[in-house]
Amino acid sequence: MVNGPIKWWGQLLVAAINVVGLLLFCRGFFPQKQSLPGVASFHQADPFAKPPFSKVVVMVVDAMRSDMLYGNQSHMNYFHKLMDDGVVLPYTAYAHPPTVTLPRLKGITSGSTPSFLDAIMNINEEDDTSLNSDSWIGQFVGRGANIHFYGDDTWLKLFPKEFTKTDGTNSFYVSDFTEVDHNVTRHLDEELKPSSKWDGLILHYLGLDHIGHKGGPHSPYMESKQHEMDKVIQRLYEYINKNQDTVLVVMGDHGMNEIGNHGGASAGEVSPGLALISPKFKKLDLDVLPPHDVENFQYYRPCTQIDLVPTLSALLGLPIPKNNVGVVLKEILPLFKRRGNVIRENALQMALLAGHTVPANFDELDEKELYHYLHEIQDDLASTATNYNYDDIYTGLGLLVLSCGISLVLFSRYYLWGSNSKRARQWALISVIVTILYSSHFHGSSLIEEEHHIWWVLAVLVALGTGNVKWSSAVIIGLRVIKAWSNSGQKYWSDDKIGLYLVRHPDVLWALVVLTYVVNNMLTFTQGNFVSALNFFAGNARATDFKSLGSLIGFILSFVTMSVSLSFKLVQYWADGHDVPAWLSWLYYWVLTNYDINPHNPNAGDDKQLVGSILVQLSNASIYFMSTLLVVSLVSAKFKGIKGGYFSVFANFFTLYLIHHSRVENIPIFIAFAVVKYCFMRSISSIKSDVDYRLLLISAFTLVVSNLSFFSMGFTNSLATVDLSNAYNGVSSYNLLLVGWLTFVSNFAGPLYWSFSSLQMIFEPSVILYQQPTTADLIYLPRICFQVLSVKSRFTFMFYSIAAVTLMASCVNLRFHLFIWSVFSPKILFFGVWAVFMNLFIDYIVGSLLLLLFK
Amino acid sequence: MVNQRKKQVSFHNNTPSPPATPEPRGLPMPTVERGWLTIPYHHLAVLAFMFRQGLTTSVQATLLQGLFTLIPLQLAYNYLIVSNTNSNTKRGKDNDNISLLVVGAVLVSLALSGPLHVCLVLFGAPIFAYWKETALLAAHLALVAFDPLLVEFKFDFARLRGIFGTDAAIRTLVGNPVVASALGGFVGAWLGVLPIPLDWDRPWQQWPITLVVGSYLGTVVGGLVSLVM
Repeated sequence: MVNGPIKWWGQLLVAAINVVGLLLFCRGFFPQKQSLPGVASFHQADPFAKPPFSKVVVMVVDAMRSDMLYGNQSHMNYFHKLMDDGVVLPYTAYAHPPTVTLPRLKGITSGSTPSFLDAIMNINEEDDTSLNSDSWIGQFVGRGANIHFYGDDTWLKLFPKEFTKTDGTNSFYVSDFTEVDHNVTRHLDEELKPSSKWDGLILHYLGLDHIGHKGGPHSPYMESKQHEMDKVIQRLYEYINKNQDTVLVVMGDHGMNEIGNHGGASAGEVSPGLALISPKFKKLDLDVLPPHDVENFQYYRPCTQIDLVPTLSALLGLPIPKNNVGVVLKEILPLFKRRGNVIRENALQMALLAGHTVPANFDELDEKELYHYLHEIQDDLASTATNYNYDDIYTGLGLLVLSCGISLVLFSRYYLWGSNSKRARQWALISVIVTILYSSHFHGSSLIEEEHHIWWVLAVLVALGTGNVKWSSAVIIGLRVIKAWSNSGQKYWSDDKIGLYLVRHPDVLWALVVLTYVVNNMLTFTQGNFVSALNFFAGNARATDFKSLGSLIGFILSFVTMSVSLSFKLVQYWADGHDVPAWLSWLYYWVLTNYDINPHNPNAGDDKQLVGSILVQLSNASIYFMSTLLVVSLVSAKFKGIKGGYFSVFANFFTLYLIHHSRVENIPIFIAFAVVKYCFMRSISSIKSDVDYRLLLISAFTLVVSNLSFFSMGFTNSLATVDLSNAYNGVSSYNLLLVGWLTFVSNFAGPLYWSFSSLQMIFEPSVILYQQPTTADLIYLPRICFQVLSVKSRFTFMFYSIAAVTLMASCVNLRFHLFIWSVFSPKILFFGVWAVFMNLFIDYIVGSLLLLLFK
Repeated sequence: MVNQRKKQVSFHNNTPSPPATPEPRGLPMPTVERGWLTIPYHHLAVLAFMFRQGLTTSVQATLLQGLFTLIPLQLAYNYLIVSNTNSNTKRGKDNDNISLLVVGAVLVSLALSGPLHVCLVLFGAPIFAYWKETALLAAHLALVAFDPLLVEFKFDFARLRGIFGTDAAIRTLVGNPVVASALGGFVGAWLGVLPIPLDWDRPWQQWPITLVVGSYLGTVVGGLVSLVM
């Protein structure tokens, strides 16, 4: 079956060219934004003569969507009273995507629009580009102001020296709802005393965002959090009422979508609230509507969030920051004596940034014309905001084309020209054609948003391709269940989803979760060499020998491991504010009682610190049990010289690990995975001698089902659906590598399952089918094992390298497209994870290592 | 009509024409005379009629109306198939009750739209939302694709299944315009889903219009492809 030697290193070299090409491309495609250096000064003589305020309080509530301030469901009663009193200027402030904290903070301090790279930097944390860029904070401090800061420490990364008093909290520990906010509020006693000496006070509350990430905008914790924020607003207002030279800004840095995440460009994410509050606004005669409901979160007057920057500069009498592209809010103009000069200052600053010269009759323009001129420059700046590095882009693209060519030749040489099997040749040709067709979808933004449809079509195609009517139908039924789990793209939303049904019916959900744990435990126990490996006192006892001591040991150990993990998921569910079904409550009662918490106390969950530490301990205990048991059983089997069955043991233990890090409503999908895996192996069980064809079918099927599973577990090609709710399992202090790994695992649980299953399906199919070892079990042919893996990887490398070329080409082609930052660029990031982490790292390198250990 | 039928039968019996396509051994594949007659041109008319009646504004009502328009046309079309088919079985054509075959095929294919609905769901159609539209789609698809097959094979599906296992399956199937047309209907419905997710936001992108269009055009294209090959 194998023609000519297939070099492991050769394949790796091709992959390396591919990765270097990807990285080069990204370096050219995601450029740092060009910005003017230095600090601005006034363009006119004293344009903001006698500014209305000299002090400012900025209260940022992370992820506070406009409806939480202004909607009928808002619980901010005191704030509503203020609106009624006419002291509030309410806005819905458009937040430029990526809607994550760091780029938003840059926006609301410097007035610039973000580059896409800021989104990645938000996670990467190593960022010093904006330190030298002009901001109202820098201007304010430069005038000798004294600013105190409490809250999200992202601010401290942007302004390490500017604040005179600080207390930062880390925004990455999302399970904590209360402590992060107490940490801010406790400073108010000191800061709101008449004797306190500050000119600026910045508070950044994180709790509301954390609640959103965990439970969405309608989480049971939302009401009390809004009351808490309302109380803070009340205290701040009482202070500024006594000190009327202080203006209060209450705002969200970004919004959230209907599941509480953010990062993308949906209406909920880009629509945070923004309110300017001061008793001085009474003289503006504001007539503000009471809380009401509107479509798409567009309450009151929509503005852009960066408009805050020139507005604050004017209100405080500061030069407008150099890189600002915001436009001063017209509602504040009556507070100034010479209102025309305020707008002119803004226009002069932006004209300088855009390199325009102001028209000759600039001084005679009226307000309306001035605003028109401002918006003209703004549009012009937006269209030239990005400058790509074409050298990097085309070099990267060249390398991608090169590796694509080599991969295609490698694939064709084996399958199209080398294979003796006619069916393998036919299907290889179909694979190449389908890959090229698939790749063409990168040119349509809505196809990227709805990519799960494509994978569904391909999954059915491959399932039908096996030609076994009975078992193919079974596979399709299983796939249909997987598709129905959470098959939402970014545009269309359906409520007929199994996942949603389970969220609404906790009894069914937990019955299925327990069933999933039991099923996976049974698979661990009955498949592979687990039992015989643990049968320390007998020789080579078979796995089916359940009366043996090994089976007893194995059963007890795997049962304990499973139970610890299950109790972790249960306590996590309870700590997130859900009601645990009555029939299961004994389990978390038992856990909590062990930690001296009275579970019948309705406030038992309030001590988040204690609950958090219990969760960390439980999670670490389960991981510890899993890894120890896996290592002991593998080492023992190796030591006893047992042949075969290792991949199954590994795959089943890894499935438990994946279950442990999945959202609860996604856990039962692993039963469907197991069923699909079994049925698929049945459908190809008659293809024994035609190894090429069989290998191609397995490679294609696992690739297609990986992608289908990814989308079916609720993920999309948008940064907004990146799920962080399981990224901190067992993490007590922030650790970039660990949290990064857990984010990857919890978001790619489906693809990871299929990756390790594919090794099991190739090397130990008889174990999956509970049959005697057959000739299809390639693990018994140690001399060709590596070649088999190489052949499989030729298929996936062919797929990913063709896709890479077309994706990058479409991004270059559409670089001035409206959706380049909201749709295409996130797709590049997701594709990078697929190609580099899933395909190269997990499938190829980890797969090879496992093969080295297990053969 | 009766006269014409007799004429046809005698014509067939007296002149054993060579099969239009190379036939795999042992598999009695029916053959079609004058293939250009058996292309379902009337599907284009029904499709145009449905669009004129406002398919994009009231989907359910128009699909139902289209279905009732399609049924009599299918009856006539079935008769056309029967009169052009040489079924290549030992049984003589005289033994067949042609009116039963023609009417029965329509009724049976309507009954088959139930199982077809289940298949559509398995292939990705929504289960709860739009179930009425999906049921109507299943009825249309059953009529344009199952019904001619039932007539062509005279309800003898063992023969059709027998073809699928063979090496030259595709060539054999495409060689028969009626069979190719039915397959084209299924393929067309399958390809019809592609435009739905595009963000053009056109009224014709709503479920299941593109699938209906795909299957109607697919039958015609399938038949034409068979003629050309």
